Amino acid sequence: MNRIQNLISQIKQQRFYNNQITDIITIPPVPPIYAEPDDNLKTLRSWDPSIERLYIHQAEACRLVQEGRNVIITTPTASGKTLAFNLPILQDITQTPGTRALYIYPAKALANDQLKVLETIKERSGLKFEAGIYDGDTESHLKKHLRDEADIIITNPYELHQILPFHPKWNKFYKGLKYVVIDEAHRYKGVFGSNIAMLMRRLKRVLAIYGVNPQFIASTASIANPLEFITKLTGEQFESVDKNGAPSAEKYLVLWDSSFNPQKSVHTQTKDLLLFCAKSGFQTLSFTSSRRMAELIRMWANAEDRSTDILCYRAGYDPATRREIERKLKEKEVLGVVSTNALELGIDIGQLDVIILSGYPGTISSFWQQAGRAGRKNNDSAVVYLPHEDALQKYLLHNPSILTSKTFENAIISTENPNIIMGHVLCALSEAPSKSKKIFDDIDASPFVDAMAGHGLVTETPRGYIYSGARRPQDTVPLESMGSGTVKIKINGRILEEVEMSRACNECYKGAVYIHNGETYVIKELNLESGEAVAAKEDVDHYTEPMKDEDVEILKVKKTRDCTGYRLCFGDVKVTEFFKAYRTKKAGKVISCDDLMMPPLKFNTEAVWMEFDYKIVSLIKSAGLDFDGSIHAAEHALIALSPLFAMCDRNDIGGRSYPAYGDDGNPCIFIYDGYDGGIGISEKLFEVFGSLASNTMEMVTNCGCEEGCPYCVYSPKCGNGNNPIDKAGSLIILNYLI
Amino acid sequence: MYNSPMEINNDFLNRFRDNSGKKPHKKQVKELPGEVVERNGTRFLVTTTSKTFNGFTLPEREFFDKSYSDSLELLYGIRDNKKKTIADRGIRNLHDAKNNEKFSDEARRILSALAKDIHAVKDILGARFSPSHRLFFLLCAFFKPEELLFIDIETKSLFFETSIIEIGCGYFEGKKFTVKQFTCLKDAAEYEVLEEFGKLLHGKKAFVTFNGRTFDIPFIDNRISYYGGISSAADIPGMHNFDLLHFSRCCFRNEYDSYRLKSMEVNLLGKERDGDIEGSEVEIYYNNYIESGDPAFLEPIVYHNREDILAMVELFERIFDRWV
Repeated sequence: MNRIQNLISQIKQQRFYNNQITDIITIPPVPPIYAEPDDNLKTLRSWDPSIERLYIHQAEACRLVQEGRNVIITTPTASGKTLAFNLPILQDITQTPGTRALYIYPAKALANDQLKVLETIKERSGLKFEAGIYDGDTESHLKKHLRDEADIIITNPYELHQILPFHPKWNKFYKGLKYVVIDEAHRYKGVFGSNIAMLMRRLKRVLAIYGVNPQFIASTASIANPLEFITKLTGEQFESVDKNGAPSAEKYLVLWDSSFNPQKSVHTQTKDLLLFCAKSGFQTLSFTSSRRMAELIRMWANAEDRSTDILCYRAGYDPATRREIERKLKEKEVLGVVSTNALELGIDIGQLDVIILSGYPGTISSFWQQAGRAGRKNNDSAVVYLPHEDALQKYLLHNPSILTSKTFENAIISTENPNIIMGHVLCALSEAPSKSKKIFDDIDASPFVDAMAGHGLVTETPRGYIYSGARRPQDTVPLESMGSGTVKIKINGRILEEVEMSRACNECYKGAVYIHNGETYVIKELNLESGEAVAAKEDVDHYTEPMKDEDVEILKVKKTRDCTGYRLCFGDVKVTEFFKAYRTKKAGKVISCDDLMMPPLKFNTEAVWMEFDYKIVSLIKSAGLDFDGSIHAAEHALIALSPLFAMCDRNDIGGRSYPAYGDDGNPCIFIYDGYDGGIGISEKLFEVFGSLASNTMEMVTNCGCEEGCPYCVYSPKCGNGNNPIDKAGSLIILNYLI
Repeated sequence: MYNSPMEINNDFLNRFRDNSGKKPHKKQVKELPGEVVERNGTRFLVTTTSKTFNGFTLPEREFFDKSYSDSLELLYGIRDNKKKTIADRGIRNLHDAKNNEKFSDEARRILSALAKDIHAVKDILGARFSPSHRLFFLLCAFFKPEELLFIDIETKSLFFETSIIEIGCGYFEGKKFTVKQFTCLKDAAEYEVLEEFGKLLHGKKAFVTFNGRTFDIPFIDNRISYYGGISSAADIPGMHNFDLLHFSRCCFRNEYDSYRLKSMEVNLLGKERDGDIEGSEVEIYYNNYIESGDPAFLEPIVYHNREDILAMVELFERIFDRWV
């Protein structure tokens, strides 16, 4: 029996254990696959003799970069991706003076890590090059120095968004710019990613002024569609490097069903596990869903046992504190840490013995990013997964093969959302005039240019189209949201967060409990006209949800697929959401219901929908089942599993089922993007619909409940309080879809 | 997804416009205050007015040279106290310092700049003094009044990602001071206006501005870069700039609460403008003009800009009176 098997058998003897372990999956060790020694290895060893070999993916990526291709590297955390692009870039920079590279990182901490990596290479190799971080914290005299002298500038998308208009000052850097590195590219998904896609096109447009067409190198965590994704993000053709050569030790995936011990909440069980593993001498890191939970688990653990000092790590701590915890983890000075997903990103903390995932982090990709923290060289490790109360989370507990086969989600971004494009068109035109109305190579902005010229924000001149508004567009166009209507949530006059109009209607009505970074706030006032909500910090243990009706109107059918008994469609729709009331719930029970006075929310978006033959109604009715409840339940189940296929959050999509829709009166189920203009989720669901339907069928069939539960056909955000619901009938409908 | 015809919601549009909600007051004006020029299909307005300034002069070069060589602070390490100490030892100016063993080399180097050009002198001054120092103002002794170009721009916002509405310039021909203003009649005319402005640079060697160091000059620079350069304006980087805001702050230190041009005009020059608008209101008036085509919205902008330029000439004279 090895260390981990021994640990598991000890867990089974603890008082908190009540047969929660439903399965243990052994993930076999993978030996390293090295590339044949080549010139790159020789170069590398001349820089650092301690390096023995290159893994195949590193060698392959180097070769492609040297051939001048755009490359995307899709290998797991800690597989040495950074080296794969640093090697050829540094080689080029040191051989051809004046060659420059721009590294774009989604977060400050990652930029710092990359700078450290480069400084280390420099120190060991004695290579002469200059690299620096250029962001909001960089002092202005240093900024000028970096622009004029640095070979490598590391920045983030927010800074890039702000500095593009200053391109004349960047003239020297841009003229020599040969490489643009987009590391951790999977972070650029959804609305944020769609904004970054436009930012990349603006960057390319500015570079074209200087006659520069750089090579792009991207790295991402595992996703199903790296090439499709990166092409949308950059508008460039890429070569994919995905054959991983890095080794991994044996790993155990422990599946833990907390409902087997109804006396203790899933969070208490997380604390028990964390504390026990740490006390047994296994360095353990537990990921939780919120800051508040992270703090609570640490508090409970330390109250129970002072001898093992459990630490907490989350965003919001000052950088020095975080660096200290990272160091303690790396140097094995601490045995137990509980963290939010703040530690998921590529921050270097070394490898640990046990990772506890309390709650599913939302995507399979994130799951393995977090789980990837386990597994010391040649040492086995364990990953414990404790799902929270949710259909998808529980589904994965019973179908761990989805996790282990690593069939990843598709990362979704859209280059067609009018709200996003419009803002960036204005930014682009403020950076340089455009002779062509199209503006971008691969996105036709003409309709936007025409529309905004009609409103005086764009003007046609003999020099091309120019921006003619009165506000700096870079300050007005946010990267995290759509830029159309937003609501600022304020607390004591300070802005807590700015959210989309639709999210504000759904989560920030007067009386709502709003959760921000794991803290609870109560909304005191919502003014949609002025775009402001007033919140107060209140520690509450209840939550609220709106009761609403949706109405979906088809504007344009763009794709259809005829299937037996139903027709699958994709297209543009107009969604109207009517807010009726909101309910206050505590521990799943409704404690009050209050009226809501709000105007309906209308937006145009994209949807995928199923139009059924009418005969399905008689089929269900003849079985003595409730049709309205059946179609409603089927809708919920389909939405629950959608995030498995399109990398998104359940809150990013909405749904509406009609027992009888439109003039024909046929039953219909709509699933739509919850964003004005659409973000590409429904389009992806249309593509993968067959798999979505069969997985959903399997989930509902295998759920042990009789009449439906949060693990199958109940939706936590149903506007009708999950009423009516008929699980048995939903199975007939789902069966129909396969 | 594209909807056609494209609808853009007003919320979105308003974020890029002036949304202060202020309503402009119209003056009773029927005609555009100047001559309309059409070029490349765009239109701009040229307004030319003039005024006589009898007393406008610049200091003599000898005056500068004396003030310069009297400035012992140009020597490294010499400030007020030290100055007294060495004055007691008979060193009253740089020429005296030349004969002192300790200061000789440095004093010679500093004085030798006078025999070179304004750039050499500027380098020496820049190493020891802030740009608002009296000696920087006295550099005007290197120029003739005809070589100065007073400028002031009106813009859509404080950020150069937005465009210039108007460039006002003033220059001397003898005692006659001419104000020439170029105003875009369509947003499209900015390039042509910059081009016209560039033509006026011919024969000019220095700008006189109010806050031009941080605003007007870089703004113009950036707008020219935005269009990829304008050949007529290629000389801008070589021009010297006298920024009266900085000189006012230094010259009248602790005398006024505000050093904005308008308050200097009231407090120092004892003048009050009749029905003038605020600089921040320019864009509102301009927008109204673009939408309605009514000259009554444009006239206040042209008036405001001209008054600013004329006030700069008087302010220049007051600083001269105090410092020369």
